[in-house]
Amino acid sequence: MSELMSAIIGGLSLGAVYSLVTIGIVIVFRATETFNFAHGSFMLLAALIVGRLQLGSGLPFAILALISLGIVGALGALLFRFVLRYAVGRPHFVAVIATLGFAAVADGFIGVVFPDPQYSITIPWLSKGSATIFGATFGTASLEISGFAIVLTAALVLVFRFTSIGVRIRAGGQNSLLASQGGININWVYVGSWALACVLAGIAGITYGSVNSVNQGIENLALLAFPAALLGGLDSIPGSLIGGLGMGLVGGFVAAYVGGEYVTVVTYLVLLAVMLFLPHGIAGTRSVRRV
Amino acid sequence: MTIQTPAAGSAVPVRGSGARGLGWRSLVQQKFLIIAVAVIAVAFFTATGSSYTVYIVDTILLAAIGALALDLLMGTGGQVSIGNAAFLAAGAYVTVWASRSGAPFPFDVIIGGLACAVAGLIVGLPALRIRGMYLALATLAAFYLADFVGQQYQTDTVGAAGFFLNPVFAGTISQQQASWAWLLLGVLAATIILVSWLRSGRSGRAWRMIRDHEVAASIMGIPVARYKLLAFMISSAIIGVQGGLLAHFTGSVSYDSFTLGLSISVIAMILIGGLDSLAGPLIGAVVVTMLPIFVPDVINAFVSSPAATQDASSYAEIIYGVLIMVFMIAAPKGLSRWRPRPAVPRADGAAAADTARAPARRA
Repeated sequence: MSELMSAIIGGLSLGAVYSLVTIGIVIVFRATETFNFAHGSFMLLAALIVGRLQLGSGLPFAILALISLGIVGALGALLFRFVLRYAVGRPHFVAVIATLGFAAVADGFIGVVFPDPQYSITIPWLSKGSATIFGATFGTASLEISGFAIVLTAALVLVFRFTSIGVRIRAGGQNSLLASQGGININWVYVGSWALACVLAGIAGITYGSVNSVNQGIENLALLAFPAALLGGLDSIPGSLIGGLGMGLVGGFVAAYVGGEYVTVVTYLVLLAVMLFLPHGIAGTRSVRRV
Repeated sequence: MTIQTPAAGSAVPVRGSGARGLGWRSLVQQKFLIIAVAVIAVAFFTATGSSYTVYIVDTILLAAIGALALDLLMGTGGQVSIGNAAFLAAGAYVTVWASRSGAPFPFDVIIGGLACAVAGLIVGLPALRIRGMYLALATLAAFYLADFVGQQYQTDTVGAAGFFLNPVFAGTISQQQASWAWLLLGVLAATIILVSWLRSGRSGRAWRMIRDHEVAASIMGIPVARYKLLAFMISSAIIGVQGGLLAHFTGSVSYDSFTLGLSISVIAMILIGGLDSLAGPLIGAVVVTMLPIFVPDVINAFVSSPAATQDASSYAEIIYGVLIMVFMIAAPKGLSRWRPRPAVPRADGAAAADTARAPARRA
């Protein structure tokens, strides 16, 4: 019983973080039809900035988080404005490879500027201690982080569904020409989507890094969110919540019953299965062209 | 590269005519010219260079073999793969396995190559249904699968330290490095001849047609599935041979040396050199391999920092990351086919973005 509960709750709490990562990937895909393979770099960068500054500067966490999120948001906007914008109208993989190039730049930059193998982040608002749920014990901090991630992702889903900003971004992604004829400044929509997605990546990186350690593992978390994005449906913003939680549950059960080292490989097997048998994902649009 | 806008359709004859229309540099001559340059370079460095110089030459030759193979798949065939480190790992591990099972030196590498051909066939299967960036994701999945299997095999047999192989050649270090240089040169020459032969005839036309317009290719009677799988098989087999040679050359194999970053560096090679060309991957292999070696010297020339050598690989990563973005976005033809830009006012992408923006400004 406790093993089952730890699989479910552990999986859901990881899935909550996946959802937050996935929604960033989906926003970028909705707006500019690109996979951002540098998403993990943005997560790691934001977490490293906070972790590094907490060591020396003595500034309160809130200010450090704002600084770091501002930096990654601006970087995302600059990446789109000065690099990826020129891939518009070219085959899709052009922009994808360009994000890989940016990931290499970020990796090298991190190697030079943050020499220590890992850092840690302390968020003062989190409680310490542990809670026992049906015989399985969890750290309350990681449960609080997961709750925060779920609430934030759900709030974003609602924003995209019901506000005019959400409608603008969705329209810009669907048909840029018609959207611009309708009075939407399409360039700002693109740049804004990238900045928003990168800020979300930063939030995910900082919160995940606060309950785990800040190292290269954060980048792998982003790569594991791609299968989640496909499972939920790449173009579906509510789908990122479904896909993230679903993939988290898969990971939780694999970790509890098979072994932690199998999580990555099973996640990618699910990705291959989804690609071949359910290419539009659970909640995606069926007309998404993939064949 | 799939052509998606009608306006870009005019690019087809230009790109396809890479083999012809070069005047005196016809395909045959270009092929042997490149091999001759490589022979002269290897002869020069093995005769005059230190064992470290020859080691770098060996590394470049190895990288060039893999880059040519990836270029056949990505440049000519248009199949995007970021999983080439997976085939490299698979080749290395099967070679280790065959070697431990008693196969002598050249045969264990050949077994590694054949195993990778089969693996390439399997990884190629999703390419029949998906393409472009989705295929890139599928090859990423292949990368994690290969990484996992290799890791399991390694921890079950020898543990974290990895496998060690006995040196292939006898003699001093510098004699060994020189023997490797000639062996790798031979393999590279064979790869060049194979790749240029595959590209020049019917198969080359078929792959370029599939790359430029898959639907049109199938309408013209090109067996798309067969050619896609063939591209994956041949490219993976060559990369597998490269992996086997790499295992013997370095003398040790461990799963943590086959990273995603390694895949990206090979992509950097073919983009910097220029897709779908013979000289391109070789130029790219030289540039990307030399970067971590030259970067500390360049940095020391300006600021004299002892950390530059230590962080050399990081600086190199920054530089080739930037080069990937520059060559992907601004100079998609790479160094080997770089020409001064004709007087066309704006690139397609910028123009498209402008037309999208202009009405929005008015509104």
